[in-house]
Amino acid sequence: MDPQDAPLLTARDLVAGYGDFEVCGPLDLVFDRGDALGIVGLNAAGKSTLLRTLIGRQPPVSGRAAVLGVFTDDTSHVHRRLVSAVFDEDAFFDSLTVEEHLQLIVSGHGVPDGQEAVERELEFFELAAARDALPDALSSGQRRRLLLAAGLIRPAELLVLDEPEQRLDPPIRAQLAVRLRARIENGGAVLLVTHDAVLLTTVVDRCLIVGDGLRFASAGEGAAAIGGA
Amino acid sequence: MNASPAGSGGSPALPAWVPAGPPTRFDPSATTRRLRRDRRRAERFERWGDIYVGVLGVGILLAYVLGLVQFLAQGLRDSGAAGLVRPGVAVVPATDAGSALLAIALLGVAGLLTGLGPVAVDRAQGLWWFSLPVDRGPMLSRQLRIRLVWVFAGGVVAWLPLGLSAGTAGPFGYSGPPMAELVAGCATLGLEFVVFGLVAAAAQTARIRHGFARALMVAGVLLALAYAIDAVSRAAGAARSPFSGLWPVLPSVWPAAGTWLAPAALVPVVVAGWLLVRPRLDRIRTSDLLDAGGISGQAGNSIALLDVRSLARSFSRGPRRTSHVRDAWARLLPARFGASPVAALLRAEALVLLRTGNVWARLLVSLALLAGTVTAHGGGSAVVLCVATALAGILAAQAAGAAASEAARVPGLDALLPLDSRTARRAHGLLPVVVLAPWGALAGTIMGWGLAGPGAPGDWTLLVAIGALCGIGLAGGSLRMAYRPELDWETVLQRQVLGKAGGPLIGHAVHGMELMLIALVPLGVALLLAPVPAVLLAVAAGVGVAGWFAGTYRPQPL
Repeated sequence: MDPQDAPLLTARDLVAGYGDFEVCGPLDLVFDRGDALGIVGLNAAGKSTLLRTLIGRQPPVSGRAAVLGVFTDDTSHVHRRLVSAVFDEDAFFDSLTVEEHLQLIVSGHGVPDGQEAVERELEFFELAAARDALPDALSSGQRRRLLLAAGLIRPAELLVLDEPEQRLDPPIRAQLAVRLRARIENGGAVLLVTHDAVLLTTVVDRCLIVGDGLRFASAGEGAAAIGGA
Repeated sequence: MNASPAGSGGSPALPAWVPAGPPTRFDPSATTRRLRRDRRRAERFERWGDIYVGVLGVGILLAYVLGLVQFLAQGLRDSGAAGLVRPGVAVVPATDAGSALLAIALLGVAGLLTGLGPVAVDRAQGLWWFSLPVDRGPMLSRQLRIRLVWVFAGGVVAWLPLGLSAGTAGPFGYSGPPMAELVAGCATLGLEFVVFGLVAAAAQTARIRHGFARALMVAGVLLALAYAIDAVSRAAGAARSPFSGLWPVLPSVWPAAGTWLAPAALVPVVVAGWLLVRPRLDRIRTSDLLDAGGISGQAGNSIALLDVRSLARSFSRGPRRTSHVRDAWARLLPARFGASPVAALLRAEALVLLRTGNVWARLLVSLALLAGTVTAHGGGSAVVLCVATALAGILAAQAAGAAASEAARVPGLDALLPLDSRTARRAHGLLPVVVLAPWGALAGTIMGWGLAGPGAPGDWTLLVAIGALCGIGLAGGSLRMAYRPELDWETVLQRQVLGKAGGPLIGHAVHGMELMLIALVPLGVALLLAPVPAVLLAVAAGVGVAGWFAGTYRPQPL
């Protein structure tokens, strides 16, 4: 597929899993700028596995997923420019402060006015008081907020979030939901795995229910499926 | 820039809205290093201290290994051709044996390097550096360069004890001016290690790291079995076997050649390998870099904590062929296998053991080691036979204790069953007996064939029985090793002030191994005595049972 004409993310007969063990699928998906999709389902249904497979973090059992039709994993710097992903991975450099971690990201992505962007994210995620703290001194929630800040501080066409509500206080969850909605309305694309019905219905209009097979549904149906409506 | 699905090829035409361009010139590793350096200036002296302790540790280890190798070399020289082995059995030339041994060791090194990556990043690097749109090549090539230097140093150090021991009398076919040849040998093995490192890196860039690691392990086991078959068939009277032509052409004989030809030939191979691998490094998936980084991290921690078992476990990480197992073993051992808690525990442990990939390989290799030693020219030396028996026994006992080791790591599992702690510990000791008693009998069979032969069926039978009884004691040793208590670092640090930290550290490292060696004493004594006195059978039974109870003993908490 010519990248000039290709949607941002496509999946064709995609089956996610480990080795030859199928977790979920097959999935056909065309996802472009301004699109948003929530992925919901019970524990162990394969939501995160599907998300990782969609963006090339792990190889599919069968089928294919690609960014712009050609980039199947993050070995391409174009892929890394286009896709920002925040999974439940908690890893930091033990000698870098909160602020320095964010500076690393803005420098690497060449964000104009990087320090201003750092200040904005520190403010948004209520990390300003902890800006000089080393990761060991952070609480579990602060570490999670730092990871989310790193995912949001940089430019990206596709934002991928795996259960961003985990370890977040309700007020920040609500602010995050509003921010993600605004991002979509401004042409950003968001793929979101969540167990939070409010976050789901605030951010996306349609969702993919992962369970006994895959089924596209409205956000309201998705919220009902996770017991939130 | 990687443009095709496989990550190679030219740049595709991207839509105007994609901020493509070249990768940014920002170097995250340099930035991180600079910030860390500023913050860690105070720790610089500590780092020098670490280097000093590391060099000292390697030096001491090298001295021990050198002593052992020279001891073995002396044993080889003193024993003559046959030693304890009956005439006509020790017929395989020592050079063939050395080649096979070194080739297997080199495959092991390649396997280790493949497990470690060799290109790897830790989780923080993966998350914070490798998500950036920067050129990964320089970061990865710098890391690979550093690792290859270490690998070269490892090869040099590994050859030192062999070269120093082999330089005078030639059990490895080594002769001539010792120093020049020693240096040539070191350079050769170091460069061979580097070649293997580059091959492993190439496998990583081709995205076949796990498959390659499995292939190396299979190749090592097959080579060991081929050697054992070749050796036994030659000892049984055949002039040659299909494998006889293999040993002289293996690259492992090169270090022993002692000339500069081999390192001179290897240098262009290394350069070509580097030129081939270097531009492809950015093809390695982040997930693979992280996986290798996880293994490297666990291996490093295991070495720091002197935990051999954890070290072995770190290399057996990696994806199973499938994360869901529905194999024939589960059908062979149905869920209603026995109705008691002990039977349930046994079934679970049996399934764990059957699914632990390299258990059977290690058991087979340990037997091949014995067969190879008995049939090698000079392998009948009492010293060599006893050392080989000890090594084979420890290897087998470690393998058989894999399931108990898993149970020891998760003590809460025992609490799920209605068993008191002592009964549970003894139940864990049953499966190793089921594995190691037959292993001991097979070891005794090999020894009996080599030492007594058909002419002395009584002695042969006694050796088989003694071997089986030793297996029971070995099972105790494997359990003792599995349930090794955590090292009390407070005691170590307290004693360090007095310069006596070595005691608890070594005690922790050999916990369980000492019982394995005691369990093997009757077999060792039987090898030295001819004819074997029948009373030794009773002694072996006593040692075996006592060893098993010692291994399954669980001290009551205070």
